[in-house]
Amino acid sequence: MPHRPTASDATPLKDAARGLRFAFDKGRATLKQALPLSLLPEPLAKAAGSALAGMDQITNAAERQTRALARSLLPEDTSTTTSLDDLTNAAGAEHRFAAAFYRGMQFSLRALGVDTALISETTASATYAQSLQHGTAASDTALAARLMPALIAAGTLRDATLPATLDMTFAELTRLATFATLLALLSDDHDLTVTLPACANMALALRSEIAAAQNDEAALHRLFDEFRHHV
Amino acid sequence: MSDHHFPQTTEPLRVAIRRLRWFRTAFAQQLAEVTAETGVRFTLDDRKLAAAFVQWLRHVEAQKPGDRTQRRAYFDFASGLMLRDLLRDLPITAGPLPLDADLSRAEYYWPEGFACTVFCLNMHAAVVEQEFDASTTTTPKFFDIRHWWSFRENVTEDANTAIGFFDVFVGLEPEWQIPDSFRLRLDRALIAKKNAERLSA
Repeated sequence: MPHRPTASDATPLKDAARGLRFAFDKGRATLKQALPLSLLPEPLAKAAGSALAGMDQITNAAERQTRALARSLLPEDTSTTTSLDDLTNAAGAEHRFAAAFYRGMQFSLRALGVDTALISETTASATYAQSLQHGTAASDTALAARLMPALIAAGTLRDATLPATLDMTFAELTRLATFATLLALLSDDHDLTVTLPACANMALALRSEIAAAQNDEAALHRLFDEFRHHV
Repeated sequence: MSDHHFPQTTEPLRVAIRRLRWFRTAFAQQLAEVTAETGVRFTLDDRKLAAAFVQWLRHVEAQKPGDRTQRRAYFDFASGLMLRDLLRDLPITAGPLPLDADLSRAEYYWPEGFACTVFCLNMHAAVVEQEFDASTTTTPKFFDIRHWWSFRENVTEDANTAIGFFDVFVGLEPEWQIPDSFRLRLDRALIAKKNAERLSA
């Protein structure tokens, strides 16, 4: 009997569609930087422009089909109102966490000045499940402190296009965005669209302490406890 | 200076002010009011504001007194600390002055310092009114440009002096030596009270 995909199999499909889009966007940006169409002589410029447009169409079609397949297996959760506590106590917690984390990271990265990034929802889901294999965390802030180094080490943020004006490395961007997202999931207001800009600015204000904490769960736990009610 | 209008909240102001989002909204609203009154526009740097907020929050949380009789003095102190942290990080930049700006007035002599001070004075007044059902006053020194010359010069050299100037503006005895210590402030107030009692005995 052929393998029939289950609902949770949709997450890698969503990731695949996003990966396709990211790779194309990044490739196009690199190509445009290396080969400015405006400087090419005609008819070369026209040919190169048509080739890029053709690639764009192929990517759009592939992305649409993959997304449609993913949606048919698992309706896309686009809610922006959630908290870590609610997610932990819900059925299918790892998938719900991963979806919320994905959206949170998008907002965090945007607030930090990065518009194009590749975030793996599949990795976030697996990391969440693995973190709970070590036993239940004593509190939601303890869980966030456990998750943060694990999400970073697992490479949940796969890649990002860093603007030239950004004053941080990819590693620091990953740390700050992950901290901001988890802080937003702990804060008293559960609307990520509202809390994340403030959480990102708070993460920036705490950047040296977040960098110093690295994988120190106790230090991260203290920071989450200290600031969760002050977003 | 306008009456204190702040964003609506279901929480007491002393709680709301310790949330970055409300703090930011309240600060931006006060800037808009200063702009309406003076014609000076401001650019707000959210990252610097968050840095000032985090510093202020940590200082006020660390020095929170256990004794409830010290609450009023603590709110006075916390407002001065807020001014110090805002002026140290200075999250705003003033745009061009109106053509008819009178530089002998604080709002045009030092627009950024004036806007931050007005915010802290109004916040202090609103919290004191809500928590203690009491009103506050601003002393004539607030309107005296010579104090603003000294205020600006001193704060540029040492941001801590902002706490003393805040005290002067609200009619409190300033502590210039170690202004950022609430404990020292209380001790000095106690000594001054005892000395006054001894003199009147």
